[in-house]
Amino acid sequence: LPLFAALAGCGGDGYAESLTYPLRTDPLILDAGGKEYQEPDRPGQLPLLNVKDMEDPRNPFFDFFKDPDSKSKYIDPARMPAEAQQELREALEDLFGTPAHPKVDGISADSREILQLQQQTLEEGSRLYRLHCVQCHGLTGDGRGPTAKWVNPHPRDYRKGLFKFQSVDQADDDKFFPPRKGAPPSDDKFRPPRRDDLIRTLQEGVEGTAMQSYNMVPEGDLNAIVSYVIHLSIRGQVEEETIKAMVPDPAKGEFSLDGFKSRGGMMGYLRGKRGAGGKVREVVDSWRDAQEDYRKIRVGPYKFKDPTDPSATKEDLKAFQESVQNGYDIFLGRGPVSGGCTQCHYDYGRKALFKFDSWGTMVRPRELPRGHFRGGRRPVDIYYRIQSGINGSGMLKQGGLLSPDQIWDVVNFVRALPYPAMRQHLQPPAE
Amino acid sequence: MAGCAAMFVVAPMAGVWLPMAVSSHAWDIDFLFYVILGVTGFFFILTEALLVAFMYRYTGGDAGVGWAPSVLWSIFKPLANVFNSAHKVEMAWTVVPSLILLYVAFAQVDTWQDVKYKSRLDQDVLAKTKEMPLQIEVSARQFEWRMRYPSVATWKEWKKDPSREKSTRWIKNRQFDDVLDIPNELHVIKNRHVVVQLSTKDVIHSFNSAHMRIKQDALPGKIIPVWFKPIESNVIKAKDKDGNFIKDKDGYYIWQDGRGRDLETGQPLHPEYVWDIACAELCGWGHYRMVGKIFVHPDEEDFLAWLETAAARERAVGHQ
Repeated sequence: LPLFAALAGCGGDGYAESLTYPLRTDPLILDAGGKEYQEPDRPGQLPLLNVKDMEDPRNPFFDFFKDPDSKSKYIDPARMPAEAQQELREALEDLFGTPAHPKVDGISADSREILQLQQQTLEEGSRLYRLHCVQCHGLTGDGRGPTAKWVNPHPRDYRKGLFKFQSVDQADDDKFFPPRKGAPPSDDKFRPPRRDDLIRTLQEGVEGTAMQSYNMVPEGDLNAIVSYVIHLSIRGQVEEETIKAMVPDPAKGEFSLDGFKSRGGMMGYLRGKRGAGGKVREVVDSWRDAQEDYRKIRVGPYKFKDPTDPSATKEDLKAFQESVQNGYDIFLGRGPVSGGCTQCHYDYGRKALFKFDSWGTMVRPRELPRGHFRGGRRPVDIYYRIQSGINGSGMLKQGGLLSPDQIWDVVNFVRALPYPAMRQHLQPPAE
Repeated sequence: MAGCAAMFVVAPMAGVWLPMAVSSHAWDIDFLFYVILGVTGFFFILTEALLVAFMYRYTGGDAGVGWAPSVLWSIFKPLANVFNSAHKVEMAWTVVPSLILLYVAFAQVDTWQDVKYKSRLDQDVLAKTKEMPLQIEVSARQFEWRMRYPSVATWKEWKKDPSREKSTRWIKNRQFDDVLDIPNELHVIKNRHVVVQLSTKDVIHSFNSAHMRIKQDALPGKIIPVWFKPIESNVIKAKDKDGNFIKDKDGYYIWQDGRGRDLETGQPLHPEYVWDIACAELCGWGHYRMVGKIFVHPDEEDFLAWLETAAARERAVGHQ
C-alpha cells in the first residue's frame, strides 16, 4: 500500500524540500496612470508575468508601454544584474526560508507572537496554502498562479501588503471622534489588515469573484493559512522595497547596489544595523501596528431599526426614510455635503469604467444596484468601505470628511438601492 | 464465494453499503437499491461460479474427451434437457432479463415521481397536510454552495398564508434586503419538508446528499426544485461541561452538527451524524472540496432561534 500511495503521488501534501521562492519577474508598476477603459482585459492577458507581455498590442498596458514617459513609471526586475539577483535571492532565503520551511527572521518575539509567525504555524500554513490557495494566488503570493489569468477579477497579489477588505482605520478620523489612546501620529501610508479581516475573507469568500468561502475548513487551519499569507505578504513587500532601493532613477532603469554601501550592504539594509531597524522590521512593525485596538475603525452608533424588523414602528420607518434620503443627497452631492461618489460610480456604477489599480490589474467601481458587495453585505462592512476606502482600488476614504451619522446615511441608501420595492417603500411622503 | 456472499448478503444487513438514511423517502430508494443489488448479485455469483467451474473442468486435454458423468453434469443435466435447442436458450435469456427489467421499471415509477416531481409534493403532501415547506435557495458556484434563507419576518408571513405562490415569490422577485446569505450550511427542520430551489451561477454542478438520498444536477439558467424531508436531527446548541450555552468570540450562540462537538478538538461526538453535501458533477479543479453540510434542527423553535442569530450576524452594525 505505501508503494501504491507513493506511485500515485500521495507522498505528502507539502512543498518539495528543494523548492525555493523565485525572485519576481513581473514589472513593478509605480504609476499606471488614470486612463479609463470601456472593457476589462481579455482572459489570459493580465496579470503581467514580465515586461514582454506589455508588447502585445492587445494588452491594455500596450499604450502605457509605448509611451516614452512611462519609462519612469515602472521597473523591470529582469534588468537586475546577475550578482545582485544572487545576493537578493540569498538574502530573502536567509530571512524568509523556503516554501517547505517558511520563517520570518529578525523580528522581535512579541511581533512574532501577535502576528502568529512561529515557524511551526508557518509550516502548517504553507502545507494548507499549497492545498487550497496556490492554484490562484501563486507560490510567492503574487496572484499569478496557473488559474490567475483566467479568472477576473484576478486573484489578490499579496506582495504589496495591500488588502482591500479590512477594518483597519486608514483615515485616522480625529474630527468626529476623540483622539486615540496610545496611537502614534498618523501618516499617509496604507495600513495592512487585521488577522480577523483575513479570516473573515476566508470564511465568507468574496462575492462576485472566484474567491470562494472556506468556512468548512477548521478555524485552526484558517489561522495557519492567514499566518502564511502574512509571511508571503511581508516577504513580497521587502522584496519590492529592496528592488526599488536598487533603482535610484526609474527613468534610466539601471540597478546599482551603491545605495546599500552606507547601510552595511543589502543584508544591513534588510536586517538593520547596530540596533537601527532594517526593512524587515519596518514592514513587520506596520503589520503589528495594524493589529492594535486603536487602529480599528471607530464606528458611530447606529440609530435606526431595520425596516424589515417586525418590531419597527412608524417612527422607526420615518427615521430610516429620512436617512436614506440624506444618503441619496450625499451620494449625488446635492446636499450640504458631498461624498463625491458619482465621480467614479457613474449612474450608481452602472456606467462605471475600468481603471488600473495599485496591483496593475483592472478594476471597476462597484455597480451598486446589483447588491453584490465584495467586502461583505453586513451594514458595518459597507461602513468600513466608506470610512476607510478600499486600499489599492482607488476608492477614497471618507472618514473625517463625512460624520459617522452621514456615513450611516450613505450605508442605508446603498443597502436600499438594489431593491425597487424597498426604495419605493422608503421614499418620504411627497410634501 | 464466501466473500461474494458476504458482500451481497451480509453487508447490506449490517448496513455497510449505504450511509445512514435520514430522509422520508430514503427507504424507497434503499429498497430499490437492494432489489437491484440482489438480482445483479445473484446472477453475478452464478455466472462467475460457472465460469470458474467450467474453466476447471475443461482445462487441457482434447475437447469432447472426459465427458464422463460428473457431479457438475448431474446438476446441469435437467437444465440441459429443457434447453436443448438454441431457440429455447435465446428465449430464456431474453425473457428472464426482460421480466426483471420490467419489474424494476414499474417498481421505481412511484419513488421517482415522488422524489423528483415537486408538483407531486404540492398536490399529495402539502395540500393534504396544510404543511408549509421550508423554502431555501441554493446556488452553486465554483466551488461553494450559497444558501439563501427567508428572514424571520418572511417565515412568519408564510405561516399566516402558506400558499405556494407566496412562498416562492421571494426567490424569483426579491424586493427587500431581508434574506440571509450563508455559504455551505444548509439548515433545515426535522420532520418538515424542505424545498431547495437549486440554481448555478457558472457550470453544471450536482447537489448530492448521500444521507438524504438526494442527487440533482444544477443547470445554468434553470431553477430546479428539489425536495426532501429529514426524519432525524443532528444539531444541538453548543453547551459547555456545566450545561451552559456557549457563545463564540463575536457573542453569538453556536449550533453544532454531529450531535455536538468536542469543545477542545472540534471533532464531532457522533461522526455518523455529520451529513455532507458534495458536488457530484466534476465542475473544475476545486470540485473535490465543494462540500457543504446539512444541519437538521430538532424543531421549528430551534431553527428560528438559529435564523435569528444568523440574521443578527448579517445585520451587524458595530464591531465584533
